[in-house]
Amino acid sequence: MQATEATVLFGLDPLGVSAGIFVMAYGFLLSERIHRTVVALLGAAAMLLSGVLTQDQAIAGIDFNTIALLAGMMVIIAITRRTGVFEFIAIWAAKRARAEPIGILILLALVTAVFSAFLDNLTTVLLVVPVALLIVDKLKVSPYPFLFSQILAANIGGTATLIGDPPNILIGSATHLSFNDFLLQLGPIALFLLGLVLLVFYGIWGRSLHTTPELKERVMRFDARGSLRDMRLLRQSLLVLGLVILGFIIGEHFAIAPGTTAMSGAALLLLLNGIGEDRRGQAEQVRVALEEVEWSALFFFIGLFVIVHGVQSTGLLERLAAGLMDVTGGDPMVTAFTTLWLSAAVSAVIDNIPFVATMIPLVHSMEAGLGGMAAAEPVWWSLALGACLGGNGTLVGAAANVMVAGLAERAGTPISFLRFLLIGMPLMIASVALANVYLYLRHFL
Amino acid sequence: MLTCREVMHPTTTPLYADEPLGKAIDFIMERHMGLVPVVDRQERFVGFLSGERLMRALLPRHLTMVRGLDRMGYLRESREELRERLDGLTQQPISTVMESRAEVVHPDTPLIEAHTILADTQFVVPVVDPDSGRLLGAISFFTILALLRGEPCWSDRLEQAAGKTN
Repeated sequence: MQATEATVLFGLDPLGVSAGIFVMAYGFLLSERIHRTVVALLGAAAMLLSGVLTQDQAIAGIDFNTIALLAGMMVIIAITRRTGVFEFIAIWAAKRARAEPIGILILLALVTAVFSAFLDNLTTVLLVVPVALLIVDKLKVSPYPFLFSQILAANIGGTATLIGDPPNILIGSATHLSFNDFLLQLGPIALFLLGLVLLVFYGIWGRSLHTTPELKERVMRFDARGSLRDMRLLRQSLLVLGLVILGFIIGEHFAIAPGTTAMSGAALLLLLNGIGEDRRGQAEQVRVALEEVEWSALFFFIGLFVIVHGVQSTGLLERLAAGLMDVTGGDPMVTAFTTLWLSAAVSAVIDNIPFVATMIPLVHSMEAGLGGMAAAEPVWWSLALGACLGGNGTLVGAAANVMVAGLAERAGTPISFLRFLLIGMPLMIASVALANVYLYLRHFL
Repeated sequence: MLTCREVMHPTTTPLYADEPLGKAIDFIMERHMGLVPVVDRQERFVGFLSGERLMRALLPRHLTMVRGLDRMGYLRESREELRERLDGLTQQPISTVMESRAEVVHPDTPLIEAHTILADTQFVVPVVDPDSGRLLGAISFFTILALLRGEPCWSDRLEQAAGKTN
């Protein structure tokens, strides 16, 4: 028989035990000495073994909508990228700019922003940055403006939609806010900030990025269509991707959660992909597609959900929320703006996923005190904007930044922490300040 | 029991890991060799330089650093562009291009171990001294078949042929 009520070992105070596990897990995540997935799973195991949670409670704490959304999109993207369509778009954009360096910088940043609004940021930069570096190498111009603009565009683009960035996925999954709510609330400010960042880049590098007609010719010779392969798979992938995005948009009217939409899309694409294959061929295709799923990320989320559920179940987060309410006086505007700047500051230095996962139940606890769900809505947008935009502050602020830094290093042009800080931090502070004004104008005027 | 010592062909190599790749390319072109062992300054085996590794190094590194090789179809490069990349490569040390994850055997290792490596992943299995790690010889499918058929190994025949012409 399974225990329905957890009993903490040695009769210790559950609140203290859960707080201890939580703080230790965060400490290990910060130190980065042990892989984050191992830390999250060990923390989750500790919540169960110490008796803070039963297994049933732990499973109830896992947000399977988020897991399904992530896994489904991973499968769809893994299959779609095999068609070369993402390279096709990047090369097409570079040629549209007539191989003019600043034009390529701007168009590739737009491509990255749009991709990362609908794909995950890591996949986006992994697809676009190598192509950008190749072009930069052909044109013999400095790679740094391109690398920096890619990082900023990935994080700003990811802010725009519910599926753009893990913080948004988590917030969208835990609240009543729909795909369209995200698009309408965060899309405009993301677009505005992207334009502003590109304007700044144009101001700084617009005149200094020089190349020669001969070198431009090398880029103009690229044949974008050469990257496309398997036209049948391409049509299938684009159809499914289109259906899934449509599903995100209209799903709320039919009570279909984004996780269901993404998983259904993945299943459909696997089916289409396997048509005409024998059993062995199908098995091979499924195996290859599932191999691309980042299981370590999914298990990280699972562990994290259990840890956060543990501290939530003991009432620790409610106490913290009550403390925060004392500070902000329960005023929605003060709470929203505090959340915005706090999220940005925290996300600039640590992984925003555990931070947002912790903040979600905390904000839920504050909802009543703020005057209900509608009154608390700006706080959710503040959390999303702060967590996503804060990632631009430093080179370790977001996973995409770390990935771009890694690619740059492998390409022989490493990005120094300080060099990125000097451009990322001022732009991050400016964009959070503008987001603050935007929130004020939209919700509190 | 057949050991690697009886089957291996004594091998030396002129390629040191810290030397420029240009020298290795000269050697490979001169000898028409697709696979050459590389040693460090203590004559310890440290890796292989192969035609595949050279061809991979000659591709744009911005694309080879992240993915499979099947999505570069949009490239349309001229001979000058390839030539520039080759020039850039020749000054790099051999160690940056060689395959350093090769499996090795010792002289007293049973032949079956080298045999399974040949059947599985490598064209050539280096035989190294268990204490010093120095390269002593190499085993390939050819040395095994030559031993079984009682024939001299390929490089012996090369040397014989060279002796005849001299």
